[in-house]
Amino acid sequence: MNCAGKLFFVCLFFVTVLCVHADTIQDGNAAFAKGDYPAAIRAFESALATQGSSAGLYYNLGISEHKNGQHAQAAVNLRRAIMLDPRMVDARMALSEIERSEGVPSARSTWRDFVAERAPLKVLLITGCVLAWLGAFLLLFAVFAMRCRLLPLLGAAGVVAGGIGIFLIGYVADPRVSERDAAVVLEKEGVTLLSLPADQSEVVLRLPSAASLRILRRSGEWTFCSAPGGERGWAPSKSLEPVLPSA
Amino acid sequence: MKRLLGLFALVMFGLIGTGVAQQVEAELSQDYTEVGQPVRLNISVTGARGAQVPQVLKIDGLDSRFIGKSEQMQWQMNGGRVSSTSTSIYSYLILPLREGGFTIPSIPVAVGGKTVKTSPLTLRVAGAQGVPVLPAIPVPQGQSRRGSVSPVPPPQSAPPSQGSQSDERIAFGDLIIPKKTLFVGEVVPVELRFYFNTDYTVRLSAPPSFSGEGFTVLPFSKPIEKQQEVDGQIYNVVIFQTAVSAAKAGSLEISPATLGSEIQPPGRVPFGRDDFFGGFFGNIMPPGDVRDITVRTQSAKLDVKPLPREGRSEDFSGAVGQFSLQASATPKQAAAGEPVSLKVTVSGRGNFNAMGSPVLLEADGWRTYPPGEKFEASPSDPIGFNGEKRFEYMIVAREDQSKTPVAQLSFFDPSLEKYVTLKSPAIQVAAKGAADPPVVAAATPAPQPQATPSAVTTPVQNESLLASNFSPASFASFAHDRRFLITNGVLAVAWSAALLLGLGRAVTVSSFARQSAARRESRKLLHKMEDPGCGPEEFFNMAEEFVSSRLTSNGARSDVRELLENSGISDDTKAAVRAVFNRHDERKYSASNLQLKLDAGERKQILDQLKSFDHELRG
Repeated sequence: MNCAGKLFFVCLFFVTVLCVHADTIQDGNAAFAKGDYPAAIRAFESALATQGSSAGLYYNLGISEHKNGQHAQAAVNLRRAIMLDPRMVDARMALSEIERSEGVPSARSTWRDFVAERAPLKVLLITGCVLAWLGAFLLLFAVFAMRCRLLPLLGAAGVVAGGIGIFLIGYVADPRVSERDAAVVLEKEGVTLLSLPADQSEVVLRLPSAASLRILRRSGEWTFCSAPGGERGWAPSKSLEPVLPSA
Repeated sequence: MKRLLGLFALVMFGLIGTGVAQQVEAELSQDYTEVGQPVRLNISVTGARGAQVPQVLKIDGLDSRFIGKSEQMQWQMNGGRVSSTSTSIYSYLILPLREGGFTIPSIPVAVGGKTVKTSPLTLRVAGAQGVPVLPAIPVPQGQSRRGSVSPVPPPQSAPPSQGSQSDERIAFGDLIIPKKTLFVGEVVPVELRFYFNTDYTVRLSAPPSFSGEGFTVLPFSKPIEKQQEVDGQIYNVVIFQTAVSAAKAGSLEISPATLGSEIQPPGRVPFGRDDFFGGFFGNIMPPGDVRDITVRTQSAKLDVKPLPREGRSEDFSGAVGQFSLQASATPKQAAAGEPVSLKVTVSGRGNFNAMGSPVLLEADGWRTYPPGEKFEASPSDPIGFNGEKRFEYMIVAREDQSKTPVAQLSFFDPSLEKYVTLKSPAIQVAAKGAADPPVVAAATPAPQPQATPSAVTTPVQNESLLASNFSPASFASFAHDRRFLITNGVLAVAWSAALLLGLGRAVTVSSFARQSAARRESRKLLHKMEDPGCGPEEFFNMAEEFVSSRLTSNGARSDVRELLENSGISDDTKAAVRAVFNRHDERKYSASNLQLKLDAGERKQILDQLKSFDHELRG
C-alpha cells in the first residue's frame, strides 16, 4: 500500500470517529428533550469517554443527572464544567440551584471566583508572560545599552513586576489550580466529618449531600478533609467524589 | 520630650473628629407582647452626651420605669481621619397592665440645649397567657449605672446559691426569661443577674456558663453593674443579657446559669478600694482568705410550640421573628452582560442566624447568583437579635429587561402566630440582554413557556437548553502546558545568553580592562628590549614607546614629555627617562647622521631605570 492509500485510511478513521461522536451527543440531546434522562446520561458519558474532557459535555451530563435526581453527582460534573470553563455562567447557576436544594450553605465568593468568572485566564497567563519577558529584555537593554539610567531601569522593572503579577493572578485564580483538591459529598444523607479515622470517634461536623470540601490527605478507606468553614475531619473515602477526574 | 508629646496630642486632636450629627431614636425590643410581660424601650442618642430624658413615662395602661443608661463609642477611619461616634442608650422597662393597642407618644429628650422628640411607637398587647414575670424582676427606680441603693422586693425566683447557708447571704443568682411560651426558632431575650453581698470583695473569674440541650444561646452583652437592696441587705448586681432560641418543640428545661467567682470576707478591703466593681473581671485579689464560689441561678421551664404546618410557604427557610423587607438596585442602566446589584435588606428582630436568603421571583430573563450576605446588629441592641441583614444579588439580564426580579421572604411571626410572606416591589431598570453562552441544541424542540412564571423561584434551568460547544479542554492549567513551558524555556535561554553577552561586553570595554591590556603590552616591550640582538635604534624607539604607553595607558593622546613632567614619579627617575629621550632625539635630529652606540652596561642601566619608572607608576 502506498503513502496515499495509508493517508486515505487514516482520514477515513478520523471522519468515522467524529461522526460517531456527533451521533452520541445528538442522541443525548434527543433523549434529554424527551425526558429520558438515564439515556441522556449514558450518551453524554459515552461521548466523554470517547471524545475527552469538554466543559459542554460535563455541563450536559450534570444537567441530565440533576433532572434524573442524582444531585450530588450532578454537582460533581457541574463543578468539572466550571473547572474547564470558569466563565460558564449556566453551570454556576445550575450548581447553585442544586446546592440550595440540598441545603448546602452558600459559600462566600472569593477574589479568585471574581477573576475566574470575568477574565479569560489563558489570556491572563499569556499576557503576563509576554509582559514579564518583554520587561526582562528591556531591563537588560537598560542596564547594558543605556548605562543603568534610572528611568528606563524602573520602567523595565515595572513591566516585569506587572507581568509577573498578571501571570500569578491568572494562575492562582484558575480553578484547575485552586480547586485541584476539591471533592463533593456523594452520599444522599450527607457525610459526617469525624475527629479520627474511626467510626466511633467524635463528630466534628455534618455536611449535606453535594457539599464541597477539600481533600488534605488519604489514609486507606478514610480521607482527611477540610470543610468550607475551615473545620477539619475524617470522612469515608467512598462517600466523596474528587472533582478532578482520575486519569 | 514634653514638646513631642504635645505635638503628638495636637496631631491626634487634629485627626480625630466627632463629625456625626446629633440623632435621637426610640426603639422597642418587641412590638407585640402580653399583659404582664415587659418590653424594653431604648432611646439612642448619637453624637451628643449628657442628654436628659424623663424618668417616668406616663402612658395609660402601661407601667414604665427608667432602668439605666449605657454608653457606646465607635471609631472609624475615613481617609486617614479618625472619627468617633458616641451613642448613649437610655432604657426603660415597659410593663403592659392591660391588653390592647398602645401608642407610646413622642418622648422629649434634652440634648445640647435643644429638645428633640422621638417618633411615636406602637405596642400591641395581648391578654395574659402565662404567669406575669415582672414581679420576679427587681427593677430599681431611677438608678444610674453605679446608682444608689434602692429598696425593692426580693427576687421571688432567686434561689440561694449552692453552698453553705452563709453563702446564701453572700451571693445568689436570678434567671429572668420574660416569655415562658415560645415557638421553635423564636429568639427570646434573657437576663442573668448575679447578686453579691457588698460586705464581700468579689472578683469574677470568667463570663457565666449558660448552655444546654435543645436551645441555643446568643453571645452575652457587656455586663451591667449596679447596686440594689434586697430584704434590707445591699447587694452588688452584675447583669448579663443574652437571648435563647429553642431548637425543638416540647417542654424545655433551662438549666441554671453559673458564675464562678472569688470572694473575700468583710474587713479586708484591698488597698484603699471600697467599691465593688473595681474588683470585677481581672483585678488581682489581695492576699488573704480568698474563697472560690459558684453562683447559680434557678432553672426555668419553657413550653416550646412547634411551627405550624398550615400556611407554611415552600420558600420558608426557618426565619422566625418580625421583619420588614426593602430592595434597591444599582446601576439603573446596564449594558449587555453588565451585572446589576440587587440589594435586599431585611430589618427587624428575630433569628437572623437561621434566615436564608430571600428568593427571587419573576427572574426568568435574568441570570442570578447566590447572594452575599451581611448582618448588622442595631446599635441599641446589646445582644444582637435586632438589626438588619443585607443580601446582595448580582443579576445579569439574559434579554432586555425593564425591571428587576421581585425578592420574597417568608417567615413565621410568633406574635401573630402565622406565616408572613413579604415581597419587595420590582425596581425599574434598563438592562440590555446578553446572549446566552449555551444555545438550544439542534435536536431539541423550542423552549416551552413557563406555566406559572411568577411563581418560579430562581434560578431555573430550561430543559431544552443544553450546551452545544464541545471544544476539548484539559484539567491541567495552561501554565503546565508543554508548549507554554518550552516557549518560556527558550525565552529564558535567550535572556540568559543576552545577559552573558552584555556582561562580556561590559567587561571588555571597561577602563580596568584597557589598563591591563596596556600594561601587558608595555611589559612585552621591556622583554624585547632585554634581547641583546635588539639594535640601539630599535632599543630607543621601544624605550620611548614604553614610556609613552605607560603614561598614556588610559588611551588619551598627549605629549609624552609633558606627561612625564606632570607625573608623580621621583625627580631622579624623571631625569633618567629624560636622558633616554634626549639620546634618542640626538640620534633622530643629528645632521651628521651619526651611529648610536649602546654597550651592555648602558643598556642594563637604561632598562633598570625604565623598570624603576614602571614600578613607581604602579606604586
